[in-house]
Amino acid sequence: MKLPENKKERMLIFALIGVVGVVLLAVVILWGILPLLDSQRKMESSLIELDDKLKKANRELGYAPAIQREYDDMMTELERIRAENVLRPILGSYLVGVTEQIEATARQAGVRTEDVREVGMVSLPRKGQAGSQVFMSFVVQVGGEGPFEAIARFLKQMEDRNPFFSVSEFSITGQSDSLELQRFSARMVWPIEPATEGGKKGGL
Amino acid sequence: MHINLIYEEEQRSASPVSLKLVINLAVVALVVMILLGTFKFYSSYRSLQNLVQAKTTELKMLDSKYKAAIQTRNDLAGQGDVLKEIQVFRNTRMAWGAQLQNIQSAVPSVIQLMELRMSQTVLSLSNNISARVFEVRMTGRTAAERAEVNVVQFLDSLKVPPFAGVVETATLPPGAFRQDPVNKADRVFEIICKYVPKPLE
Repeated sequence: MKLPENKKERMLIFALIGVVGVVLLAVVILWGILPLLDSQRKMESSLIELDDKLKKANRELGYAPAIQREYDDMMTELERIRAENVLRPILGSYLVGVTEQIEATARQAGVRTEDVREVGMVSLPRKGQAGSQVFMSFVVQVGGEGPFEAIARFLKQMEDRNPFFSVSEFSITGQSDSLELQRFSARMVWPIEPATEGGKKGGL
Repeated sequence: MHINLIYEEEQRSASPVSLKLVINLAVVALVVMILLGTFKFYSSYRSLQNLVQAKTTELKMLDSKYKAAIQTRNDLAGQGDVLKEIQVFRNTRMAWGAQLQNIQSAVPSVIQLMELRMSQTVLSLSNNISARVFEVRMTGRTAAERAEVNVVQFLDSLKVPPFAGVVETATLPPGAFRQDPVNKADRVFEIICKYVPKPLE
């Protein structure tokens, strides 16, 4: 194609070509380059985010073996406590087991028990009140008589048997008719786990 | 006088490099630059796309292990609370068997203990911490002669080992040292021992 001879017409053609070129350039920039640049920016920010997530995941996975070991140790300790120290019911009753335990220990210590009475289940003393409690305490009231040192020995043997057992109240009173024998009354407490045991509930 | 003997359209530059050549070269250079720029942008765009894809795949592969690790961490915290809950019970108990044996050893032979009562309460200390608090009340009798010395001796023995660090205060409340209403030759007294509180934590 030949350009027109006339200078004005030629300039007009050039101007037209220039306008079409600018329009084309604008179209290429608006629908081609800008979306690509935008997409690139998004990918770059997504890359930073992915890097952060990967760092976090790798850091967590780095700690994982130690956390798993700690968790296993803790579960072993918890299971040991549950097996050895948390009171379990016998046919739904906690009282039967503790009565046998109290009477056997009292006999061994030289104390005579007259009365082992269930007080019930109460909340364990705890830090704050938030969250649900897994453990509760089973309380019994024990009465009897014996020499002072035998009563001390009885409580000591009960405490030595189970480090989670405790005595929350007691009284030792001398008797007017016997200097040797003292009457005693003690409130004894064991931890229990009602949710897993389905034990018999009792009130205070 | 200056006369142009050729038409304006027929005029030519005397320069050896024609304008057409310069324009052609500029156009070619521009096209080459645009092509190079486009290629460079495209290759960096593709490599970025590949990198994002690779990291996404890597993250997906780690995801299940990561979730399991987070679960273990949460379980550790949950079971830790359960363990603390039961350990508090052991850590805050008072071994009363041993305490009674110590009290028995500390009582002077001239004093007869008539009654001993222990009670436990849970009280709030400062900083929103509760504690088990134990109190022992002992009632005794001793002969009037040297009664004061005997009682003070017993009281003092409750402030030294094995009671030091365990018993916070051992006091004889006002009016607790008096004549025995049954046997006027004797004196009766009451001592209150407050034990060091055991915080529930």
